[in-house]
Amino acid sequence: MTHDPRASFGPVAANYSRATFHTSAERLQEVIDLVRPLPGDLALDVATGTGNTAFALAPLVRRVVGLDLTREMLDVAKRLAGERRIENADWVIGDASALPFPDETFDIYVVRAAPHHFPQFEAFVREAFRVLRPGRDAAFVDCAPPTPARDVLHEVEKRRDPSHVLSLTVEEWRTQLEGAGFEVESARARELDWDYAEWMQTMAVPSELAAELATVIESSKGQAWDQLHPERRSGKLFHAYWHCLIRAHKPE
Amino acid sequence: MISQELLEILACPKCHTKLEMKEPDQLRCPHCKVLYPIVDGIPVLLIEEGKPEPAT
Repeated sequence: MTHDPRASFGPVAANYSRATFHTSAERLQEVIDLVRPLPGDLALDVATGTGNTAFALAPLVRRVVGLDLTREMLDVAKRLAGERRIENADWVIGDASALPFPDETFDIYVVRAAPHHFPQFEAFVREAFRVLRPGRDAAFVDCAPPTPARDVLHEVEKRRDPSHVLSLTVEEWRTQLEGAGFEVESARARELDWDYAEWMQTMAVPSELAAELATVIESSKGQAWDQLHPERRSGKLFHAYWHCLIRAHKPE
Repeated sequence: MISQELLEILACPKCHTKLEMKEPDQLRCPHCKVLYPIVDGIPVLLIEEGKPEPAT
C-alpha cells in the first residue's frame, strides 16, 4: 500500500515556504542554470509545493504553471503569488504521472525534491517527456544518495515521511531518462552539509522519533558512515545529503 | 476563475483532449464526457476527480 503524500504534506504545507533547502536562492539558481529559461518560455514546475521553484522561474519566463497533488500546498502558493504580485503563474492540482496537458506544451519542465515520493516512476518520466517540446530541456533535481548511504537514509526517510518511496542514484536516473527518450546532457550528484534538526522540523517529526532516527545515521558503519560523515557541532547533528542535478534534452 | 492562458493548455489527464470551460467552476472533457471541478480558482485535474457528465 502506497502512502498518500497528501496526508504527509497537507498539515506541514506552510513549512515549505520557509525551509532553507526549498527557498535558498543558491539552490533555486541551480535549477535556473539547468533549464536556461528564455523570456518567451512556458514553464511547468511539477510538485511545485508552495511554489518556490515557480516563483524563481516567473520573472525569467512568459508564464509558469505550478502543479501539485496537495491542495494545501497550492493554497499557500496562490496566496504568496498574490502577496508578491506575481501575475504570470497558474496553479493546477494534478498528478506527475498523468499530466493534464497536451503533448509538447512546455518549453521547460522542472521537478525538484519530489520524485522520491512518486510511486509510478516510469509514468512520471514518460509524462515529462510527453509534455516537453522537442529541442528543449527538463531539469530533474531530487535527493540522490550514493549506495550504500542510501540504505541508511532510506530507513530514515521512510520513517520521517511514509510517503517516501525511493531515492534513485544518478546512474539510475540516467537509465530511466534515456529509456524514455531523453538525452542526458549533464548529470551529477551534489553533496550538502545537511542540518538534520531542520530537516526533521520541516516534516514536523516528533522529537522522540527524530532522536531515534539520528541514531540510525550516527550508528551507520563502514562505507555508509564514511559517505554520511555525521558529526555533532554544539550538540547539533550534521551529515552529508545528496541531490542529483540533471539536465535532460528532448531531441528534435 | 482561471486565466485564459491556462485554459488554453489544460487537457484531460486521461485522454489529453483539450478541456472546455463548462461553468465558471467546471471544466469538461468533450472526449470522455467527464467534468472536472475548479475549487477556489484551482482546477482539480486528477483522473479520480472526474465526474461523468449528466445525460441531457
